[in-house]
Amino acid sequence: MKSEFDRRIALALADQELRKNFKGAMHFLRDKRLQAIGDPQIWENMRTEGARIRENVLNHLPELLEQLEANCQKNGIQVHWARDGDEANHIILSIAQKHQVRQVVKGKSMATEEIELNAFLAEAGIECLESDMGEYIVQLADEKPSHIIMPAIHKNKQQIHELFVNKLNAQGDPNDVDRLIGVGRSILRDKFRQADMGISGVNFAAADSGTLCLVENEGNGRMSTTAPPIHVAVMGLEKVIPSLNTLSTLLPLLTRSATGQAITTYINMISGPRKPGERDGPTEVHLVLLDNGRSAIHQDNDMQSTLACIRCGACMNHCPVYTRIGGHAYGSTYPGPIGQVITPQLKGLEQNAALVSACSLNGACGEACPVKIELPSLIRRLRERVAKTNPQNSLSERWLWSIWRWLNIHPRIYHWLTRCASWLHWIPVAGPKSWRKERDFPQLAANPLRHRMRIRKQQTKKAGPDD
Amino acid sequence: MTNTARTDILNRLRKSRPTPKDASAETGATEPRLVHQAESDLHIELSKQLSLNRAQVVESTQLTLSSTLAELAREHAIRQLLVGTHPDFHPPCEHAMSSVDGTVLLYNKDYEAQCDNLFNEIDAGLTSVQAAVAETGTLVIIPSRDEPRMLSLAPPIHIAVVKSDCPVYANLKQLMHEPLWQKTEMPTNIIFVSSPSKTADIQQTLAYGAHGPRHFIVILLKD
Repeated sequence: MKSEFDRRIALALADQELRKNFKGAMHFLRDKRLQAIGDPQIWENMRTEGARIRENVLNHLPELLEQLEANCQKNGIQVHWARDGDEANHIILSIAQKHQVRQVVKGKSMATEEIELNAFLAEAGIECLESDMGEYIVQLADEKPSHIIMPAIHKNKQQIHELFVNKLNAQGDPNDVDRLIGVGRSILRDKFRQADMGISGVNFAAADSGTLCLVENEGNGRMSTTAPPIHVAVMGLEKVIPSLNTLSTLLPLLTRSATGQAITTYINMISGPRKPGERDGPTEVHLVLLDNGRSAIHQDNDMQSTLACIRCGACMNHCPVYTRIGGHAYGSTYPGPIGQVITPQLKGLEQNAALVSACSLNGACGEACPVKIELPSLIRRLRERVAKTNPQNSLSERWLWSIWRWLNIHPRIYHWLTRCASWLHWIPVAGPKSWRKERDFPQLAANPLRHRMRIRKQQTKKAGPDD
Repeated sequence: MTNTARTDILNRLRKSRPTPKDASAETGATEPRLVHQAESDLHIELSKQLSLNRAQVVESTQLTLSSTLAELAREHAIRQLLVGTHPDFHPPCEHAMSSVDGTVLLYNKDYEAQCDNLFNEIDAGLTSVQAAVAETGTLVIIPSRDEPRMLSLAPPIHIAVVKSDCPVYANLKQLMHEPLWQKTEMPTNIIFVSSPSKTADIQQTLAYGAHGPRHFIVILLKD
């Protein structure tokens, strides 16, 4: 039976415009990253250092969170703890209601996407406007982000032009991106002034100084955290770092991996509300520490490294599956490889079993990850769990795998059979029907790789060690 | 509710104790890549990187600052220039703006009292710079009572004046090795600025002036 996920994949694959948009965008982002990382050895050292910093954070997570809380409070930031999305939403609503908030502007935040804050506030009669250009476009189209860094990546400029004509009555040249951005700018600048509350995410929070760090290019993050009288920052509890000086490693890893930039336009470090005598900035700053399944991941030794993620999006940019089906097909807040790992853990493996199957285990995501999360291993571990608890594959598939397993632990027979198969140009079983339906069976080589390697080795030996 | 949530979450996190790692690595701070570069080289690199990031870099001196500002005011049609309350740059700004029939305004009221003006009337905001990073072309700006946060954000043009004694670091590692970053008491807000406000959210096409300044002008003072 086809799952919802299968249906969405089929739809995405049939949408030529969507595929073109993603293909172009992913090529662009991969090239930019490659140019930005420079010397591969230095980059590798930075990744190692970044991985170590994040691993240490996870090893000291409760202490760091307590330290962050204490120092934020010392700085005048009010700290709230939320076990799940519902609790976080209610905390934010109660702050809003206390100040009679009607209008909220929001900087880009995946944590608030995860808890579906916009819809929750809308039900309470509070309008929550996205201020990141991509998020604004997505909200205007009544859609969800299809990428964690570039939310409107599934749309091209013509589609955005049409959206602006329909929703904002903004006519003009559809190819003029500056004009389109100008439309968003003028609308949103009014909203920043009018908003009663600003909501933002957090990229890093330094425990030893109680500082919230936001990374951005547009300035909407600065606007949302400076103009309105109240600022509420929502952060997944794994985003804590021991101190700001770890940023000298983590920031370049994040910005190079995400958008191929050595640094973004703005790095915004907030250590408290407006002090007496200061002329601007919010008079209240709140920090909501969101668990929502993270502490359970933390307890799961095999999967804990999921929480090392710094949300750069490089794994999806390098994923051949994501590049072809796009972000919406996954049907989850976080798409791509990291989404395939996070979603089943946050929302239940059984309900999201199909997600972990959308992977060819090619390993590109793991190689691209700036903090060396072994995403392919994590996906494989989840697959194992699915197979153990809820085997969905057909009888013939299971039967085939058991033969495959038997052959692989009997190498002589295995090699003899591959030899026969290449002589005969034929393999007795080509897999269950579902495997063959949309794939061509690969041609067997006349000589098995193992045989060719042996010949090559002999030739190298003859040629001498210096060759 | 929040208190029990706090206890619950922390208890759950404490239950998972995988492999206690070396505590000395806790800060993640390794030896900084101490690159000893001549100061002049750092200034050249800073200027180059800023220009690459679409900042307009102008060299000047204390003496010529007012004429530099007047030229910039003419080039960008700046009529209202907003400055902080610190008197350092007041004389050259006054001089420059009077030569183009413009005015200098002081950010001496609370944001709420002048918000419309800030967003709609002011052509440019001028700030000082507390430090710079050459490798990435980054200016470190620490807003204060004298130079509030909106000064470098709301007006469509941001002019940043880098004095000759402003410390320029080779890279982020060296900057963050400095005492400020080891302190536990931080200013309300610190900003790193490396270009005009920009976005590539529409079909990866870079557009400047997303929400903040469209133009980022950096004046490097040479004395």
